[in-house]
Amino acid sequence: MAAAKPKPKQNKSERATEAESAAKKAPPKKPKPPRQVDPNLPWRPWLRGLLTLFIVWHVSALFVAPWAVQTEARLHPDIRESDILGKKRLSAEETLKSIDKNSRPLLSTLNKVFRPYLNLTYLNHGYDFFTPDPSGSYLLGCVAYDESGETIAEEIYPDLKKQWPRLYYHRHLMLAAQGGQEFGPDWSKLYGQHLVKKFGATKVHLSAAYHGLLSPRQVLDGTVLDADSTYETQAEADIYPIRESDGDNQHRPITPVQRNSPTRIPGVGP
Amino acid sequence: MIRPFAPVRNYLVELWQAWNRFWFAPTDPATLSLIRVLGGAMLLYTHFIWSLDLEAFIGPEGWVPVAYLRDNVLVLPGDDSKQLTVWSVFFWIKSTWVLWVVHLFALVVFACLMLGLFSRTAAVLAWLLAISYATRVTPGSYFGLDKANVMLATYLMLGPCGARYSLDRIWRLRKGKEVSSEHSPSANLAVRLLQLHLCIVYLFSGLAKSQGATWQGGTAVWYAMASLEYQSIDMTWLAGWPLLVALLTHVTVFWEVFYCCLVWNRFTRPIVLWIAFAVHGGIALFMGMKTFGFAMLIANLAFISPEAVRRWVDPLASRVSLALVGQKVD
Repeated sequence: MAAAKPKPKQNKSERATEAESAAKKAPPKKPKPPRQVDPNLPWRPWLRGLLTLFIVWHVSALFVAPWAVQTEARLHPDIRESDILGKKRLSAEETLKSIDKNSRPLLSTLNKVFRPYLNLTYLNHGYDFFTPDPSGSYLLGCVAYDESGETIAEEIYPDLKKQWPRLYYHRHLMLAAQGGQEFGPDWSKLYGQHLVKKFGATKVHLSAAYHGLLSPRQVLDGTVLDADSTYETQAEADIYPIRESDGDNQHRPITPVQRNSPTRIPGVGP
Repeated sequence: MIRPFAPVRNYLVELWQAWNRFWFAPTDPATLSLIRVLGGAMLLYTHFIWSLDLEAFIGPEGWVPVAYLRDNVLVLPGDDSKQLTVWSVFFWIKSTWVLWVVHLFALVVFACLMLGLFSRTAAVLAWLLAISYATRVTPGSYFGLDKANVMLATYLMLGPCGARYSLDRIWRLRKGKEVSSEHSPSANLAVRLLQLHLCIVYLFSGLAKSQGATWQGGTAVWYAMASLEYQSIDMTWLAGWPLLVALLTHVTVFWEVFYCCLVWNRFTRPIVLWIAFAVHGGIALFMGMKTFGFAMLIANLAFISPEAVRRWVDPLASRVSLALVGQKVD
């Protein structure tokens, strides 16, 4: 491409004459009035428009998060888990298969749209406090053994006597509550390995217990909130330290406990 | 001449004006500043508690190792792709000393936010750090407190949270700079978003409760209070007061569901806020969740007018500034 041809140089008087004639041709410029700022709305309209888009997006995301989290895919309306006499018709596996994954077409779409934003801002959760009903608590019992089989530690999580202040205790309460709920059968592996390392143990015996709630009638009849009958050990597992050669099979599988088995777990009850 | 679309046009114009007034009208930053002081204190205290066993809860190993979260929890169900938008600073920290350095830095940031030192910067950092801690313990040991903490941090960074009741303000005074706290549209925006967020929290909490048999029947408050692991004060005497339990249960559900409507009306707002005080105060006092209860009460301050905040807080703030710089400033 050819370079632009430079304009020939003008002398001072030529430039002055040119400017005078241009000034005669052009109408006199009016000075631009200063922008009137409305004290009640100091932000410019374009900024308010942009923020309006953000507000609509953010509030919609806030609304979608609990809506999607708190409503789960349901069984198809024609499928019943149990018959009229209350007899179970579907196994857990069949129930899972029968869930209509397309039962929430709008929510699924909205959730996909907003999920990245909600994840980034830690807003992707529900607000289902004590719902659908208040329930009992979970407790985690731990007995750690050394090589000779001697007990080197006996702990319960949560434990008001050992975990203070209250928030610290509550974090342990949540750990116990979210173990099986969030990690499924992996909870014993995760928590167990942590405890093996913490106590330097060669074996840790874990037990997960559910502490049920009493009705007002039971309390009026004299049952105390920590009565032995209110504790039910639901699962137990022995955890061993991971060795290189063990791979993933470093502990015995979690054992569901029969309902009529002893309910005591370490540190609980008299 | 008949203009058939004039009413529609007028409606839209009025709607836009009302929208602008609601979101963008400048307001005194007193309410936001008070939320900063209390919210900053809450963030500082609740994150300080991690120090008691930092490596076990936040470290790369511990109760729930980061590697496990990456491989199992951060994967979308039915899809092997990872949720890359779930993030935490602690996902990348491998060594103990770095973990402690970040933790101490976080505590300093939360302290700065509470005191109002480099307020706006501290607010942004506090938001990032609060998300990092909350994401690291989700799932595992998170609960409503983490949601409330992040909610407060999110909106504090959107407005001039250090405009009042802050060291920043006292600092400006000492340097002889202008210290008047002008009304700010971003203070309004931040407080409005917090208000809307609270409405959504209570609406969905109320809707979820309304599906529960004990919430419908009127015994849920009993069962919440009768949990030995939660209770901080023995409330089993409630067993003999079924009508009181039912009243508390039903009021809780209706209050949560209708909070989003009744809190905007100036006549019903005081009632709604007093019930909030009672419900969250009750959770704090009787159910062992002081931090969560207080965090939600701090969020509810969003509905207290700046004038009311100044009436109560300015005298105290003036005394503090008089002691620090020999001049009264709120």
